[in-house]
Amino acid sequence: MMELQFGAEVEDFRDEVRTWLAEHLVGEFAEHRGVGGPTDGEAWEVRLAWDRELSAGGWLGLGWPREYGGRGLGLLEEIVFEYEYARSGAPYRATGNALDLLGPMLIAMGSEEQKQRFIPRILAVEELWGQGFSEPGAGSDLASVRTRAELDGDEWVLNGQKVWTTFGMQADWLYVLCRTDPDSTRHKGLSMLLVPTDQPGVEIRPIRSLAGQDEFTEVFFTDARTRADLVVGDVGQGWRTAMGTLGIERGATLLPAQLAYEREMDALLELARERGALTDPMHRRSLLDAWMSVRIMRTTNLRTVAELLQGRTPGAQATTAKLYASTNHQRMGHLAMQIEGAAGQIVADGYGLDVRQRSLLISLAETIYGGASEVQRNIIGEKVLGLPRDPKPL
Amino acid sequence: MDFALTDEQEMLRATARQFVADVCPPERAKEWDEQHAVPRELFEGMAELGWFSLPFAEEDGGDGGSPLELILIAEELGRASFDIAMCYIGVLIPGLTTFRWGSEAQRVFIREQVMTGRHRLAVAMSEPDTGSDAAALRTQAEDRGDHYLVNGQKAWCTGGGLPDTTIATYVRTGPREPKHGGISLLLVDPKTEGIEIRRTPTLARHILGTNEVFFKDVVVPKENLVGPQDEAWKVMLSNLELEKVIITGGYLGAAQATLDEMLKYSQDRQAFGRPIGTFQSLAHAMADLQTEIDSARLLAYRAAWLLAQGKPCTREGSMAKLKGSETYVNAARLGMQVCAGQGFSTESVMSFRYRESIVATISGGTSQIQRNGIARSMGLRTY
Repeated sequence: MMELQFGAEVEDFRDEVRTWLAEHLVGEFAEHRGVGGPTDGEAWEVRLAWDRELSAGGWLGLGWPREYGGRGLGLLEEIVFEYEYARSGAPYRATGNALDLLGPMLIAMGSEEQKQRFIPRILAVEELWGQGFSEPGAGSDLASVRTRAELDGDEWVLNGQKVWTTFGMQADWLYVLCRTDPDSTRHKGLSMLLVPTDQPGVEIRPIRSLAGQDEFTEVFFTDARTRADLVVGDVGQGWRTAMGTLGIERGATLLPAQLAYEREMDALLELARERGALTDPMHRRSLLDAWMSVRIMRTTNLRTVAELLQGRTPGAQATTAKLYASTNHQRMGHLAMQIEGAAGQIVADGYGLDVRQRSLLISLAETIYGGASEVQRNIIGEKVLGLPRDPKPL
Repeated sequence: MDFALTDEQEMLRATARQFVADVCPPERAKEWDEQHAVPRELFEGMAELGWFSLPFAEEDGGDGGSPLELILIAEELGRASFDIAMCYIGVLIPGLTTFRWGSEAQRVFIREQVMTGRHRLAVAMSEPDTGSDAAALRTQAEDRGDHYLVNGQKAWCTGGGLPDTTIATYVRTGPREPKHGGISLLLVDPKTEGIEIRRTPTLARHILGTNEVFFKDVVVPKENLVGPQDEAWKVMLSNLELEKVIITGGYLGAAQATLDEMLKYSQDRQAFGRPIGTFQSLAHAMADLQTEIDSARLLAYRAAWLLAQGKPCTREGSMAKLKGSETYVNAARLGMQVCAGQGFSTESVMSFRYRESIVATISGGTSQIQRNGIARSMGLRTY
């Protein structure tokens, strides 16, 4: 990966990150360089141990407030950290969901008690979190959620089903979008509840995915219970809370994943060299396109960061970034398979996929989760270009 | 021009469609794939319908079926899964090649054993270091008077691990110059001493299965030579066009079934109060895909027609293979997007379709090789 200059004021910080990573990314952790992803459960236990190592070093929640155990650093330091992290090839953080989505949501919209209760345990890697948004009948159309929650004394009672909860099998807690007003429809009457998984009313089942793993799960609530005060934001305002989280999912969390694509690109060029594919004009062209796409991802991210640092509202590129990254990453995966040729078909025993195969297969989900490409195009069309809303059929 | 199928061809297609519905619907093909099963009913059923003898001349015990009829069968089988189509094509092609170039005894063997479905042939051509550049093969067959002594290693021998199978093995019997010379075709019994077959674990296509074959001092009788010694390159080429065209039939069937399945899903699945297929972004993508499939189909049918007329179709066959395989891959990719989460779960047929599709632009001659052939026919020699 290319060296980037972030300015003199963060040079000491960058050196501190680099030194720490050099000293701690050793042994088993170093053997798992480049392993894992936002929805890739590979080497889970090693990655969890690595997260605890990061926690002990004070490298989780860099931008989170000090009173909850964060470091209270600025965005620039966070970016420097993520960049150095990607550069080192450290394993993808297992606790990404809590660190990237739930944590920021709680800090922005949670009650003081919720912050005190949950944030320190996220940072200590003591409690893992899963997201309960999608349902069998509510994917891109999230406002169709039907999972119900009713107040029974000082507890909510949940009934319904969620699906595609990432790392649900490992989750201690779920943040669940529920319909708390039974007479409501669509975006109204929803609430965001925090629900412990260790109770009889919660059953979590793995979904075997194309990538051969069970990182995605289905969650069944049958009279599941949680405390009445474990609502994030106001009761009935769950849509606002959920959209805040999805905004984070489509924005900030792209950075570490996209920086990891640069490593994939380097590996792809190396593969092409080994396989003699650099003499094939079509492969050359595709490789150039892929290389340019990861550079554009980085430039786009840095532009957004620069705008945020200057206190400006990010431009249109922040809205197009998710669509661009996911589609190009998928293309990169297909290109890798083409370059690898027939050998790319060989797996280890028991459907054991290598890094490239797993990356391609997982990339098929990237154009679906966190807002499908079709939804992204609608958002770009309507919010950025000012086009009329998607027409209804005649 | 007449684009209509004859009554007989319509009947053949209907029979093949019914066969797939009865014996190997996509859900069952997926189960076979996951269990690495060898479905006897599939091979026996195809034999009972006379499909393994269909393209042979009537005087040779066949039905004189044309390339178009073979495409129709491959298309219907491809609707079950491309691997299922290959269970047919992969056996048929080496049988035709052996019959065309073989000795009288070999012809009897094909007629009595292969055309009846009692026995199968599998091709061993690729080697660990030779894929697209097939003529660079190194597996050596040394002339020892009444037999050859074979040493070397083959890769991607598809179907070579199934029972009752003879391996049609391309070997080097002569010098490497000129490049396409010195190659011979031998029929090898995999039970012969010195042969080891290892199944290659792969992402997909587990029904027919693919294998590495190791030869260590393997004795192969001279009478197992097919066609003239050192001239197997032309033996191999003699059915290459037909193979490309029938394989394209398999791609077409798989692509069409993939589209039909995503179409059905898009009509049933509701979001934002309407079937997702009524959103233009998906409707147009599927309309484009049907156009692509029809284009590939017309290319394949034209190539089949040329073959039936005894006319050259190197260029047209390559175009069909290129377009068919690329369209199949695009279909599976779109299917994954349309079926979204449902497709990503391995419970779905779509995930199976996608797994199967990945290698389509690589196996049976890569897209790059097809483009080279097409460019050459245009007077552009690219290497």
